[in-house]
Amino acid sequence: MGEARKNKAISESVSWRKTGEEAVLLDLETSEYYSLNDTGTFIWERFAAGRPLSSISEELAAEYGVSAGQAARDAEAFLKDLAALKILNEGDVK
Amino acid sequence: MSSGAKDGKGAPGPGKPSPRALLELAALKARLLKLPEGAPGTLYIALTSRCDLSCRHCKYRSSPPGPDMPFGELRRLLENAASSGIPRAAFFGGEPLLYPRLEQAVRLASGLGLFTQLDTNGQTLDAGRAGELASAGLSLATISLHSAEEAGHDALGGPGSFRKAVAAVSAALRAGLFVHVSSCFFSAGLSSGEPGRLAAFARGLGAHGVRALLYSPPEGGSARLPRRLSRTLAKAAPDGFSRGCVRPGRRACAAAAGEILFTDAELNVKSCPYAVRPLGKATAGLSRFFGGERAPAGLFPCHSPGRSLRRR
Repeated sequence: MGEARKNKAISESVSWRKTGEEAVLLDLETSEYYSLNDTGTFIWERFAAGRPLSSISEELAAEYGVSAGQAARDAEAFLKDLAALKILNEGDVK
Repeated sequence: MSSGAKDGKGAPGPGKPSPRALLELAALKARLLKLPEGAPGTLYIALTSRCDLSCRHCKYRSSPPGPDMPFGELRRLLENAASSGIPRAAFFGGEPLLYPRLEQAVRLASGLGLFTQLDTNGQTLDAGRAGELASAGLSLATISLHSAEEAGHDALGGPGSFRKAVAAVSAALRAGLFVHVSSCFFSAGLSSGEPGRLAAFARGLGAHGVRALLYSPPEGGSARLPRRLSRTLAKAAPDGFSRGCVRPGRRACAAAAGEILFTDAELNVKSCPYAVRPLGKATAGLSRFFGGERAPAGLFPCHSPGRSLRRR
């Protein structure tokens, strides 16, 4: 089935895969799915691979040409959104 | 900069498809929302014209079987479909379970990111075969079942075909696949409540939906029946469990609207398996067939020009 889930912050009930350039996340408990845009997919792939938020923010800033502070705020906000949707276990997000 | 998570309901109906099949369906739905301009959502691929049944209503019944699709051609076709943005491959026939390299074909399609579907009469789809196909990446089995009663189905498919088809539905469900029942209706059946009985029976088996087709005689079908079928299905199953070629409230069928495309085992492309007019060869690429087939006003691609002229 979907991609590997190396980050324990990702809820056990969530499965995901890339489809084209975007990631699709499925919560098997609620049957709700979420498709991410290219920025979200960029963050998600690295987060799911177990990369720390600081490293993801640095790459995000370089890739999209925004300041390090802006990238960090955006990545953090994105992960908070996912935690609110129970895609991530809030306490484990680092 | 937006990270843009969007939600949608990916809930399956009854039964419990595997997590992999559920994820594949979610990915398909996400991709259908973003189809490239004019691209069909499904490519039906007849792997073979051979069949192990000789159903009385089948338009291919009297045609001698041609060669199977060479695997190299199938590979090129699937790669072309994936690169053109088509999200789903539906293996079709004849009877696709007779295609010697079906599991390889499913693995290839799934590996290319295509949602993978099998249209089968189910006569040889036992638990072992269903499990192998699911492991190869199959997500949906669409199994022919033309009546809720054994006698009704066997009158078309031959003695014993009903029980095998019902067993195939169970085998596919146990393998964790989505399962749709595919039913061919005749005009008389629409008046006698057959769509409602069939939907109830399919639900009882645990299927996730019914795909309803109309009998399409070789000379072309009736112009009025597709919309009548659509209305009948909407009444019989208001939750959308049963679906035909024409969605409720629309005038064009899926083929005319360009939502599906078909190629036979010799790579002849049509807008639908039952369309009358061939559009060309798939060897030069699929994208030139995008956008749907224009049929004469009020008619469908499964109507022959002769029939449309007679109507006028």
